[in-house]
Amino acid sequence: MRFVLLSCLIVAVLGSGLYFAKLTVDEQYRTLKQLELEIKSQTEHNYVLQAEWTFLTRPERLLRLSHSLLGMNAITPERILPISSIPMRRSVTTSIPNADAGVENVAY
Amino acid sequence: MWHIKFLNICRSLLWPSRPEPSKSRKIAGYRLIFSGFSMLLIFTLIGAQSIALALSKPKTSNHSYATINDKARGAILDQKGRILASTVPVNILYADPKHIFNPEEVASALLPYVPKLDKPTLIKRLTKKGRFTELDRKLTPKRHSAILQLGLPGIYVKPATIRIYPQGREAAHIIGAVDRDNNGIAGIEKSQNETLASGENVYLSIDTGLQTVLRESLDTQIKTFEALGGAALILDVKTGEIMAATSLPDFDPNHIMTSTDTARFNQVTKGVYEMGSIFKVLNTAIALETGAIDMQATIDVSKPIRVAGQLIDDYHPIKGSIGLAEILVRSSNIGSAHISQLIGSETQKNYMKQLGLLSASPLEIVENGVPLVPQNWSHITTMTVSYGYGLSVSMVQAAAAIAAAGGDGHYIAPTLLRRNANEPIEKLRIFSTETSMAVRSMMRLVVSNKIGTGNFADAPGYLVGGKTGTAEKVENKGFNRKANRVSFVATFPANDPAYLIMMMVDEPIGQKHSYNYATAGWVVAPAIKEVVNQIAPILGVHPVDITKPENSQNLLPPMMLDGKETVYASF
Repeated sequence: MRFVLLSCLIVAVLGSGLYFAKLTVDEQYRTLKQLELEIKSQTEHNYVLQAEWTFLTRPERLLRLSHSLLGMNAITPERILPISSIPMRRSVTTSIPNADAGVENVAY
Repeated sequence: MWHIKFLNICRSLLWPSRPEPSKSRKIAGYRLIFSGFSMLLIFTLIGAQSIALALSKPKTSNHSYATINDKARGAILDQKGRILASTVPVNILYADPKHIFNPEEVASALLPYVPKLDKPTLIKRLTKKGRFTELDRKLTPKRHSAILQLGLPGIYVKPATIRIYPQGREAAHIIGAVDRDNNGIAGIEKSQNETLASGENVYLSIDTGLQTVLRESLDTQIKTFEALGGAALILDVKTGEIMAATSLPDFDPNHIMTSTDTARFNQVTKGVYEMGSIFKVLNTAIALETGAIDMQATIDVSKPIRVAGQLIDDYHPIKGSIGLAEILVRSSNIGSAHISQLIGSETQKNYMKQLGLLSASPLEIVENGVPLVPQNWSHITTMTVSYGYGLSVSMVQAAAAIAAAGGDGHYIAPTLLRRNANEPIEKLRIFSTETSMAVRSMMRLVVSNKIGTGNFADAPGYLVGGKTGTAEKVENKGFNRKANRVSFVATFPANDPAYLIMMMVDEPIGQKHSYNYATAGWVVAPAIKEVVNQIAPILGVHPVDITKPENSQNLLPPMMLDGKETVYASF
């Protein structure tokens, strides 16, 4: 008799435990699915935003805008100099002769 | 009887008579066993059901706001990761004609929200047989909301995806396009369809920044010289990567169906043309490499060559004998034809084969032109090929071949896909270091020396080397002297060529400012200078100080041209 009652009790406890475990798993599964959908949705939004950003920053548009609004043009080679041609700061005690003439001394 | 006994037991369980004291313990025992078994049965059922539920697959939610499949078509990106083609979600507006009872009324209500359709077309679609008729493929969120507010039965919206090309016309011929089912139908979209369909991104060797500069410059020249069109490309000499490729007129891949056949034709990779004088670079390189002629030898170019009914002469006649460098710098057809005879037909053909000019290049694009190779490589063919007639190749093929001659002597098959940092590059040595140094020096003189044909291409500081080409177009089995295809191939910096630019303009018309000339030197060379000036800082190419020994030793020592000492630098 005791065995029967004990079996019933164990079955009841296990059944209930299993049931609650299943409910928890279901809930977590739903959360997971929700998250996956959200990630998917955000990824989609990301695709759209990236495409929009690419469209707005396309070089052809930037070239046109920088030229018309900022008056920017291609860098001329005269403005590209080797690092050695940049005059160094004058020392407080000693002066470097012809330091300012560095730019003029570059020959191409 | 047993059943009477069972009924009695049941009756005694339900309505138990007052038990006799001797039997009460026995009855209590039965009751307990009965209750126990009942409980066991109930809990077993609950347990079994719980296990069954736990093992069953969860029901998927009907609600979904994600529309792109797990494996959305991969994006096409440029060398720096900028998007060239991508897939984005859209809403498709459609109707189920079976659910529409009054098409006239529905059409009137819907008309303001479907701007692409007029009322008769809309009614026609709403009364169409079948259960699906598409009304709008790119429904904006605003119109979507307004249509939902109307609450029209039979009008539905379903999520879908669409391929977009945010760079518009830039590199349209290379990228290609897809059909309504997102299957590639042209360009990289078609050749890399399998990769893209599996969700993987494809990185191209194209740099959109360079592409824009190249396209703008070419477009300006086409408009200035009222040309039919043109094509241009930038090639990385050291890796074989095509960094920009443009063919004009072009099309917007977002609206490919509205473009013409002419606009869809890719002149850079698909079109094969007689390249004209730019082939003289190859002729010179082969002559030096085979020892057919050396730098000191001279050739008499004063008399035109008449062979098999054809006359080979020079655009600007030259008197007397000139050396190899001057033949290239002055672009002498007569001189080139004489040199080709020293090279020989078989040797020339072998070199053309090694330079990938006799068969289609292994380019990763379906629009890949097959060269038109003469069946009989006679000695007259050898002569005409030396100055770019009689053999038609694509611009990409010509560029790769000239990159070998004017670069460091290696042939590298051109590619449209980005190379990985440590990817080994298959290089085939065709010309020796000495030959390529001589060739690039001579190409530099074409631009820097006053007698050269490409002076307008000289971008100060960047040591541009190049060669002009003006080819008459084939017409009615002959050549049309008035219809030219002018081209220019340039490498820079000449002391260590890193990039090659090739540009071709189709049928330019001479203008007042060009003294009615429509030659490559007038039409294309200025555009090359413009392109070099703009792209060199982007590519990190520094102006070259030719006075430094490490730079000057990569070019030939100054030589005498037209009685004067040559000058490589200009700054």
